This record gives sequence, C-alpha cells and structure tokens, in this order.
Amino acid sequence: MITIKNLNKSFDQQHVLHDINCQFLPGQNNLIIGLSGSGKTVLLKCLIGLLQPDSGEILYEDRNILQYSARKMKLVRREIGVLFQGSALFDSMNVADNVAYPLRMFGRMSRSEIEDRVLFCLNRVGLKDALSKMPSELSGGMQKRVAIARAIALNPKYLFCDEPNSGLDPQTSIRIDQLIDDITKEYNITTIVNTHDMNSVLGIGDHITYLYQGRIGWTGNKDNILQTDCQPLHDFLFSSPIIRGLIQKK
Amino acid sequence: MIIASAIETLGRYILLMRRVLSKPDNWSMFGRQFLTESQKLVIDSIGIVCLISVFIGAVCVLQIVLNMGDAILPRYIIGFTTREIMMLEFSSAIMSLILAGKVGSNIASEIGTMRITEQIDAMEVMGVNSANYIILPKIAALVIFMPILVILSISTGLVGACAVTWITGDPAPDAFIDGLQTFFDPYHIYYSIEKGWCFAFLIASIASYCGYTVHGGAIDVGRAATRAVVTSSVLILLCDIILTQLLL
Repeated sequence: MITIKNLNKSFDQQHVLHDINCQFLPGQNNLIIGLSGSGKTVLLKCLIGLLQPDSGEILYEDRNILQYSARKMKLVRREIGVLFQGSALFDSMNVADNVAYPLRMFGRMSRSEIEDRVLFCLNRVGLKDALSKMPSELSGGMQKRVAIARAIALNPKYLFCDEPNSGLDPQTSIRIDQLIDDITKEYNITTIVNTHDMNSVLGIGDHITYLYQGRIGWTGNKDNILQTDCQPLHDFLFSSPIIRGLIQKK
Repeated sequence: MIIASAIETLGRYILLMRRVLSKPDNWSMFGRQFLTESQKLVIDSIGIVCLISVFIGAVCVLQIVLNMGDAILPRYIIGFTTREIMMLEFSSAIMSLILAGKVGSNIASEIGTMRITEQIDAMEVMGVNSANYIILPKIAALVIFMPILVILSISTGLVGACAVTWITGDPAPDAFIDGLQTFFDPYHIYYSIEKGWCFAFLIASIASYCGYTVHGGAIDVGRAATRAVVTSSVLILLCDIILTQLLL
C-alpha cells in the first residue's frame, strides 16, 4: 500500500502538484489519469524517488521514503519495478541480459538460478523465444513486455507504469493492460499506472485518480467514472468519440 | 554571471565525480563493463593512434630536414629532435586531443542517449548508482591503458620517421638512429605517461559529465558531444602547460 499525504511539488515559480492526498492499495490497478501537463508524470517520479517533492509524505506501507537516507532508499528501490514510457531497455544488452540485469546487480543468485528466473519472467510475458534478440530488433509491444519482465524480475511489491500504452496499437495496448492486470492480481502488487488511454481506464481501472491542474479532481473506479459529475473529468472522458458513441448506445 | 555558471558547473562535476569514484555495487558487473569499455575506448583506438603517429613522425622528419637546410649542424640532431617532439608533446598531448575527438564524442553521445531514453532513470530506480556503473569503467579503462597508447604512439611515430629516412636518405638512416639514442632521458617517457594519465581522466570524465547532464532530445545530445570535445581539448591544452612547468 502506498499513501500520499499533502504532497507539493513546484519547479521555480510553477506549482505542479498541490496538496495531493491519496492511497493506492495492493492487488488492484491504481490508475492516475489526466490531461497532458496535469502533473501525472511528476507525481509518478516523486513516488519512485526520481524527484524530490517540496513537502508532504510518501508512505510505502508505514515507511516515509522522503525521510530515508540514500542507502536506506536503495533497499526500498529493490522492491520497486518500473515500466517506463519508452521501455528504457538497455540497448547494449540483449533481452536476456536486460531481464537478468537487476538479478545480477542485487540478487544473491547463482548463474543457473538467474537463467531460470529470466526464462520464467520472459515466459510470463510470452517472450521466451526472444532471449538473444537485441531491443532494436523488437517491436514496441515486445519492448514493453520485456520491460515488464525486467520490472518483475526481482519480485517487486510495487509496480509503476508510465503510459504503458503510448505508441501501441489498440490490440497490443489491451494485451499489455491485461498483462499488468494479471501480474498485479497474481502477485498482489501495488500497481500504479499513469495513463490517458480510455481502453485502460474502462478496462483495468480498479481505482482511478483524476489529476486536474496538479490537484486531485476526482477518485473512483471504472464502474462509476462515466457517471461523474466532475466537469473537467467529464470533458476529458467525453472528448473521445468512442466513449460518446458508447454512451449514446446505452 | 559567467563565473557563477562556471563555478556551478565545477560543483556539479565534483559532485558527479564523488558518485563515480565510489565502490561499485557489484564487482563482477564492473569487471564486465571494464572489459567492454577497454575494447571500445582503447583497443578500437589503436588503429587511429598508430596511423596518425606514423604520419606525424614522418612529417616531423621532413619538416626538420627542410627547416635545417644546409645549416652546420650534425644530421643526428634530426633524429634527436623528432624523438623529443614525439615523446614530450605529440604522443601525450596531441594524441590526447585526437582521442578527445574520437573517444570524448563517443562517450558523451552514448551516455546522453542513455539519459534521454530513460535508461539512466531505469538504473536509478532499481537502486543502481548509475554514475558509478556507467562512468567508472570508462575512466578506469582509459586511464589504465593510456600508457600503452602513449608508448605505441611514440614507437609508431619513430617507425614512421625512420621509414622516411630510409626512403629519402636524408638524413642517413644510421645518423637518424644515432640521433634517436642521443641524450636519451628515460624520465621523458614517464613524463609522457604521467601526462597521458591526466589527459585520459580529463577526456573520460568531462565527456561523461557532458553526456550525463543532457536534458532534451537528439539535438541536445549532439550539443553535449560537441561541448565534451571542446571542453576537454581546452582543458588538455591548459593542463599541458601546467604539467610541463611542474614536471620538467
């Protein structure tokens, strides 16, 4: 479980996050949605420790990571898996080495155990035949799946996904969403997904937080989001002709 | 304003180096990276170093012969002068300038691309000291193997010079080889190697700093590569003056 209390972040004069308070539970997909520039990525970067907030608390269970020293934070980071928007695979390594990287770096595993774990993770994302391929030889969807395999290699407690569907076709998008959903429920991970993909919102949105101009505008889930009375969220949702058509049909 | 910015950059460079020069998270991964970087930065540079050194050695002889003209000086002086040029300046300072172009731009663009494609962020999120993992093997490889490049450059430069004397016959090869052995001071080799170590550290660390601090896109990576080459070249020249004054 991750809890955020009174989180604020600004860059120079620009206040990006205003007094954010929310909670993300394990075993469900926690989606953060919002317009571009609403502060989703900044919030995610604060949560994974890539940005230092100006004030507030970020609690991983009951551990306030903002008060942690660099050494203590290193240990917390080993419980975190991140899927970056552009996959962020190491382009000098093949698929197997990419997935094995965190295991070799921190795991106390023998070579054969690492090989087994790599195979398991790649099998889990349906890519066990791509072991020796370089990232440049893979499609966007395959790169995302390898990145997911790398993210789950160390059995993380927390999984963060930044726009996992960006640049993917709708079918592959749904497959990636399904994979994230399966992994979250199977391993009871606290998963936080940044997205503005409507398929994800309505498909895997167990808990949805809508960010509007750096503030939480609405919280709910996929079942009640279409009945929202929050006007900015309403405008955000119904800007999609597909959603408009869906509602008209209903 | 410019001074404040320079001090800020120096501060950031020192902070980065503090992270770089710490104990690796995993020694076997460091060893792997070290071997890869040695191949990429040193072994792959041997060809260009030898080629340029051979030609510079040859041109040195031709220039000295031309400028000495018929002066009443012993011809072995040509060999002596060529050796001193190669040992004292070319094989450390000028070769380092060439390496700053080849290796420096390579390092800056590689690390810059890793930065903009979030590969460095991915390492940081995993809890890896990315500066140490990426930069330390590069610095270590270049600094450790620089003496080999320096000695190789001196040797091939002198071979090039000898080849010219054999082809042109002026000066006679025997006189030239006599000159190469005249007033030989082994300290000059140590001096050249010491300068090489210093320049190797400058090239690898400055290029890494430029790449590591990139923000933006492809244009910024290009700018970082240019900045790496220009900054390290200027600092090599500046250090060359200081080291020459201190060591000779």
